[in-house]
Amino acid sequence: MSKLLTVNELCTSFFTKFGEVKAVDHVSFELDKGEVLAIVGESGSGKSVTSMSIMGLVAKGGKIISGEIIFEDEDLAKKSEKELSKIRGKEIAMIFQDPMTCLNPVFTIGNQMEEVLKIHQKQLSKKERHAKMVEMLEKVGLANPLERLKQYPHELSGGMRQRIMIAMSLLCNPKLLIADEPTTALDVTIQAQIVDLMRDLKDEFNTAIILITHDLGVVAGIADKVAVMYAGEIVEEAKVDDLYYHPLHPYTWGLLKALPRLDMKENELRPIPGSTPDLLLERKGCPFFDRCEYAMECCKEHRPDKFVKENGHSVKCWRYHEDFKEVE
Amino acid sequence: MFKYILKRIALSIVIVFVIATITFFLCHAIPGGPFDREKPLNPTILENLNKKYNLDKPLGEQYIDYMVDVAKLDLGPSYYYTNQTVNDFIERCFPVSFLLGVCAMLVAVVLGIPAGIISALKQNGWQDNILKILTTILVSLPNFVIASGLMYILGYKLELLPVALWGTPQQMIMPVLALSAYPLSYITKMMKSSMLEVMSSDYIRTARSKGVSKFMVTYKHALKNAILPVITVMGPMFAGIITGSLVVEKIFAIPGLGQQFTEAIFNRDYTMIMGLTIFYSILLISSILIVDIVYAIVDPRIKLGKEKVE
Amino acid sequence: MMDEVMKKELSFKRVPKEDKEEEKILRPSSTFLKDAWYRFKRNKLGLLGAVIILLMLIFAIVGPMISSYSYETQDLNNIYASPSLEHLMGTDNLGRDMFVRMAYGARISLSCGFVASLISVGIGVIYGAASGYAGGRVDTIMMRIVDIIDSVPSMLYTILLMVVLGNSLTNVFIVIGITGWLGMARLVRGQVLSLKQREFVLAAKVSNVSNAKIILKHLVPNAFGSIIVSMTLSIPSAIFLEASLQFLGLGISAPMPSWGGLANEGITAMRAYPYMLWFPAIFISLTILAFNFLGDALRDALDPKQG
Repeated sequence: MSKLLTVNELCTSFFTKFGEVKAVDHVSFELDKGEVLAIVGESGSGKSVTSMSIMGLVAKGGKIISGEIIFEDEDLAKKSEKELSKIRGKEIAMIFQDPMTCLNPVFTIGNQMEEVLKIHQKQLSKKERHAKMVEMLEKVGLANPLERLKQYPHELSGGMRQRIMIAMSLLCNPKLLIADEPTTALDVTIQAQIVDLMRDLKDEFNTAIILITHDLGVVAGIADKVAVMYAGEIVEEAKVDDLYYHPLHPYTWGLLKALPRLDMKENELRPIPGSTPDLLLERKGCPFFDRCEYAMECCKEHRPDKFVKENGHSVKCWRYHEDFKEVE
Repeated sequence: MFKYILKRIALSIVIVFVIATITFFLCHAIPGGPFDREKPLNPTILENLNKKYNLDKPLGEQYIDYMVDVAKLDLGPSYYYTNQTVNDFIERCFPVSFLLGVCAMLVAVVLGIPAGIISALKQNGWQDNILKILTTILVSLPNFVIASGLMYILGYKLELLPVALWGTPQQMIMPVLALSAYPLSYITKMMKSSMLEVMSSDYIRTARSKGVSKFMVTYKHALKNAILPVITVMGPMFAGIITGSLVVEKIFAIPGLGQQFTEAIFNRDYTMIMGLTIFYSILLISSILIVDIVYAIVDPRIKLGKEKVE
Repeated sequence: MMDEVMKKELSFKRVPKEDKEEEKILRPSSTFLKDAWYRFKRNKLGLLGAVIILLMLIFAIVGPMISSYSYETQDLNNIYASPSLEHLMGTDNLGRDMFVRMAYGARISLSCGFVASLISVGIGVIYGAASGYAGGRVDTIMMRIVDIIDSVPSMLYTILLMVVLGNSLTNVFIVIGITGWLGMARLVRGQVLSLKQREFVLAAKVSNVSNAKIILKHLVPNAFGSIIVSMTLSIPSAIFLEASLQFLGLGISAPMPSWGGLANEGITAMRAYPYMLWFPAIFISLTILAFNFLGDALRDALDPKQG
């Protein structure tokens, strides 16, 4: 069975007046039908740009330089704007971080939801569209769907708006849903509800999900696979359990240590020192070199290769080279 | 909503009242009476004149009388044209100025909004660069420079258009252009920056991710949002056009209210100055009021925001 | 693949923390003013504006000195003389030398611009700071007053005040000055309000330092950029307002020339003697353009967030 989505050596750069910024640098991953891949990383690690590249919606100044994005045997990177707009919203849908600003303030919810159906399901009558919207709003757990349709975004709370975004994205039953930090802007209690909702809907519609987040806590609840991104590269990729129980990359170690847990003692929560590297500067070695506790001389000069273990767990770090041994 | 409008109307009336009061006392603070001429008038005539205009009464009484008249929209007699009232002049001259102002406003809006959109969509393209240069220059050229430049080139050199007076469409072209230059470039600039801001907003990204075409995103989703801030400046913009018309009407010898105002200043016709100042204030404050109400109707956030407050 | 890696001769020796340039600063640091100057220098239009303003100032100062004519001496035998070596900008309807009149006009128009905006800035800063500092009800009332004044175009009460006060140079300065302070007051008030909420003001309060002292001390550096920008941009509008008043027969009285007055005379004569219009029209437009360029450049340089 072929994969739903295969991203192959994708490179996306932004061209600024200071030079080229390699926001996504040779990123590859695969996704099956109904599978959930979480992409984890700090802000600026290139996870959002990866998702926007798949959608063909890289912001002004940015461009896909090379690589393939094979979705259902077709390369999205080669498609025209017109072809892409037929896929967006129908085959691949997306929800975003801040539900407060993601809905157009001057149109009603009904108007904005109906738009998706008008574009992608032209055969539906007005009545059918209406019925479908109501059904979907009920599915995402919103009371009074009829009234919601007539309301404007500012009349609803953040959690409600995110539910509406999810309802809207699932209207055409997409095969892939990209969720870019869908819970970050919400209250903690609402966060859990939204994650639960997404999991239920995934099971119901068999939608594959790419979940982009910087919160490893959210990942555990829903993902099958996790890819850790750092400075535009995927530095580690594994099944969710492998990653949690046997993390390989020093950066992932840092991320997991920075995650608060209930059984933690005081002072145990450890942030990773330093910040992400300046992507404008050309670098030879490992991007994590500056912040890595275990940095070695080879890390400075040579970019780590990808080492893959038998269970598919892959990592980009010299510690997994066959000749590696601890040298102080 | 209804309550909001009522509140705004009440506030506007208060402002007009305050302005009328200040204007009244300023005009009565001018040293010397209104009938001080180079040749002193015969004392009996002066007395009669003072009586006719109630100037023999105490100031407080005069003020109350004047305010009552203003409330009845009666701005009193002219000191200079002794048998005509300020209202007569307004009735005669205002339609001319109003037409001039509305035309200038229309030109500014009808050309400025599309120009701003083009500028934003083709950011840093040749269209944008040309518009950038044009708007920068037009913003800096005083209306009298544009008026006289047009007059010299189109009127005297090319003899395409008549250089003075009002009535035919040909006579209207130059004054309208001179008056609309500034608001036109202002609206263009504003529409551009507003459009750019909206186009990079999250809900535009959402719309694109739904599969909405670029065209529909621009003209349905972005335009309605981008135009809102432009609406808010319409009121002050209209004020600028009205005050600009004082100078432009003089240059083109247009028999409008602005020309009348200039003449009143020249003749030191205080009741006329006072009356026209109040009239202009009423005009501008109501235009701002109308803009606010329109804005509240167009922007769903305002409407409901206010209702919640009440 | 493996061969390639082997060729690299990997050294697995640990790099101690001190040896890494972990905290290295990637771009050279720079002070605010140095940064602003750098940004300003790159703005060609801003530099052009500054040069034009400088030339105008030199013209205003030096012009009357090097000319052998006076702005009021009439020479009825030599009226409407076209520009020549003798009269660089020609003569007017009374045979007065236009060059020296333009130079005097520059003195008046430019000083009107500077003095009037200084007055506006003065009033605006005091009013705005007082309003923001007082806060609460006083602030609301003071800002409501600003709103009310702002709802009437400044041209109207400028005219009214000029009519009341009478024509004179000083009156023009004062009247234009006291009608242009609203924006400055809003700006300064906003700055003061935001300053009041900052931690260092709270800290100062706790340690019993007077609030006013702290605000004044921090207001100047914080609001400096926007005040300068706003002042630069208010100079051209003062020049424009003065010129407009001349058209309405208000302002300074003849024979003293200002650019607005000269333009007004030029329009009357332009059909036969267009140079009488071109000189004042071009000088006013260039000056206003130059100040707008300079103001925009300063805003980009001093206030990059707003740009």
